[in-house]
Amino acid sequence: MRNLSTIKSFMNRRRAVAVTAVMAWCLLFFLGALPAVQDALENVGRIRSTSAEMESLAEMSAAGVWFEAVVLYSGKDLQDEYDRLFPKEKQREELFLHIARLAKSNGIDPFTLREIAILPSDGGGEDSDTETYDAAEEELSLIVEQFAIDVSDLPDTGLRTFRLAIGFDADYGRLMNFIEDIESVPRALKLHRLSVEPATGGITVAMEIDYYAQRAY
Amino acid sequence: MKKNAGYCLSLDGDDSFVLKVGSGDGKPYKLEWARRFPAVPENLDRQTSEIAKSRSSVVQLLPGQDVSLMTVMLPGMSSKMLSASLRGIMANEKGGSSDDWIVDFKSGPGRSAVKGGESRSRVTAVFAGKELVAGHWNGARELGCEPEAILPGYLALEQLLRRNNPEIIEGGGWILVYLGKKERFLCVGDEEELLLSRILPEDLSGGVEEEEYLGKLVVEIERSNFFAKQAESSIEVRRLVICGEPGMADKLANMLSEKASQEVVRWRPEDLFSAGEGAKPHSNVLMLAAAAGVLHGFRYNLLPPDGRRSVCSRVRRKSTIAVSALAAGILPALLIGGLWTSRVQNGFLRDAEERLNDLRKRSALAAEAYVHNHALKECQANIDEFGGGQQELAKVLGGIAVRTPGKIVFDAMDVGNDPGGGLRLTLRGRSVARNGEIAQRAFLGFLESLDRYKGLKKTREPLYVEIAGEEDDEGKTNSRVAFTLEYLIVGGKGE
Repeated sequence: MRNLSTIKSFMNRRRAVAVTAVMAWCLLFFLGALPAVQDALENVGRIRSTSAEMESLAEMSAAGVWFEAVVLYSGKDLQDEYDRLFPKEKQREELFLHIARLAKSNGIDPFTLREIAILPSDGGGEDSDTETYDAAEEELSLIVEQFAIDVSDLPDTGLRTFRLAIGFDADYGRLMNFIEDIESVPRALKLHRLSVEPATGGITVAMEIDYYAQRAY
Repeated sequence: MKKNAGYCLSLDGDDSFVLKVGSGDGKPYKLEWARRFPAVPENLDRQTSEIAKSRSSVVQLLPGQDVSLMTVMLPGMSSKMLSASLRGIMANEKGGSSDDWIVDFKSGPGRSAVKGGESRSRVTAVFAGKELVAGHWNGARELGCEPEAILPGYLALEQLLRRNNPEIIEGGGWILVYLGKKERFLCVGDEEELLLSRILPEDLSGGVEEEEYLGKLVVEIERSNFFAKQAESSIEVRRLVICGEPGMADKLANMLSEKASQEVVRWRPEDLFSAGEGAKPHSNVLMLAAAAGVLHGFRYNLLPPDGRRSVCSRVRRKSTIAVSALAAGILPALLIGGLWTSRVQNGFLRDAEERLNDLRKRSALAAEAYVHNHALKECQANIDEFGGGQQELAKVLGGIAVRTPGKIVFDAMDVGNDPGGGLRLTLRGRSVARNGEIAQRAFLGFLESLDRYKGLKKTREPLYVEIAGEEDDEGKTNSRVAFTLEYLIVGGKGE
């Protein structure tokens, strides 16, 4: 009987060892291995998104080198020319004075100069910046928003179109000189219409000239 | 898969015994250890735990008198039917029902008999009472082991003989006589199978009347020989194989050599086993034979049906071991692998965060440059569209004036935007002369010179031409060509 109890005790010990081993395994698995593996799996997602972001930013940084070079080498000249051709809207009185001076220097007097509205049939009613808001524009606005870029120093690329109506009596020679002078004005002007009719002792001229200006905010 | 060690367990009350046999040193087998339970109780734990762990390598020995051997000629039938038939035969002979018996059998493949036109095969079967076997088996289970086989000693001894000394059983029938301390029996068999077994009487005189006892044994052997000859599958015994306790077995062998007509062979199965000092293999020959049988497998097995480890249970056990090994192996792999991977990943993420911060700064500058560059591109586009070269209208007008003959008078000149782009010039005027030829020549010359002028591009024929006469202020009649012309202004470069 003593032997039998020893044997049973051995069997119980074996069972206890097995149960302890299973419990220890479960403990290690659920408290050690499983969280570690879950952590590693979560890190995989983080690494993937981080790598994608790094790749995107690296591409942007690389492209930025080119953009910075372009801005550095040609940006100022281009912007100066742009400002010259398309001054700010509030500076358009300077153009009126300039044209009036040209008329006077060519002996054209009397001389009428007025700004007129552009009819829709002439392409009026819309500013020249009314362009389709395409994907590139959307991407640009996203970039501006994402990186909080200050765009107040940038030139306005949405130009407004204005039209000047000029009327005077002159002769053919003065008209040519006046037109030649207007063509030498250092800003973007475009003849919209020129009408010449004979008049007593000369010709009657009616001109319409379009000009463009950066919007004033 | 061949086993490296076999255990034999014999439960007989206070005389229970267990031993271990392995591969031998210079001999076929080696007796590793042998213990009688009550004799060495302090060592029981170690041995018991060893046989409990090696449950598939344990054979349990039944007393020979409790197991019957039968050889019958039976027609061919399925294994299930054969089993039922054999148990029925046993129930008829010994009583009880067929379910009270456990049977294992082998059909002799080589020998068949034809009787009454029906083909029959020799079937050798071993029987034991189910309760008796269950009692032994439960006793083993209480020790924590589940034997893979249960069989009587004479079957184990016969198999040992066949396996290790096949030359003894060659050439016909034989009788194997075993004289042990506890068991004494004889078996009759041939090259293929056992025919019968008989329990030999004990020496009730306790060795005092040994000659007389040996004489009884000789008579038993002769009877068995006679019985074998008379049996349905008749066997001609050629050899008498004697083994067992050295003193008694030697004397019987000597006696038989003198009296019997068959060849007498003194077989010493204990010599097949090497053993440590103090061990006496001959005292446990049947258990040694059974344990050695574990290494090779058994032909017969009286394990109860519920004790047989099915294929499923073996697969389950192996699966459990495999799963346990896998679980034990996978845990450190997961734990260490997970922690290490996590550590490496966190290191990478830390480095990446630093690089990201740097890249974000550089990207912000790049984005600013990109937006600036984009604005410059738009500026350039505006310059190209609106700030392009002037039409040099003044030069064109000058060019027209130079090419206008004195006879041509302009009534109106309009410059406007052409729908196709650029400026369109419309000239309305007249050519006046004294006669029509001069006026027309002047008009045509003017037209030709304008067509050649590179500052203008003719888009169509004159819109309007009228040739008529008219009176001037002095009342004279002049010839007049009125016209309306239209051109595209190309520019003053043609000047």
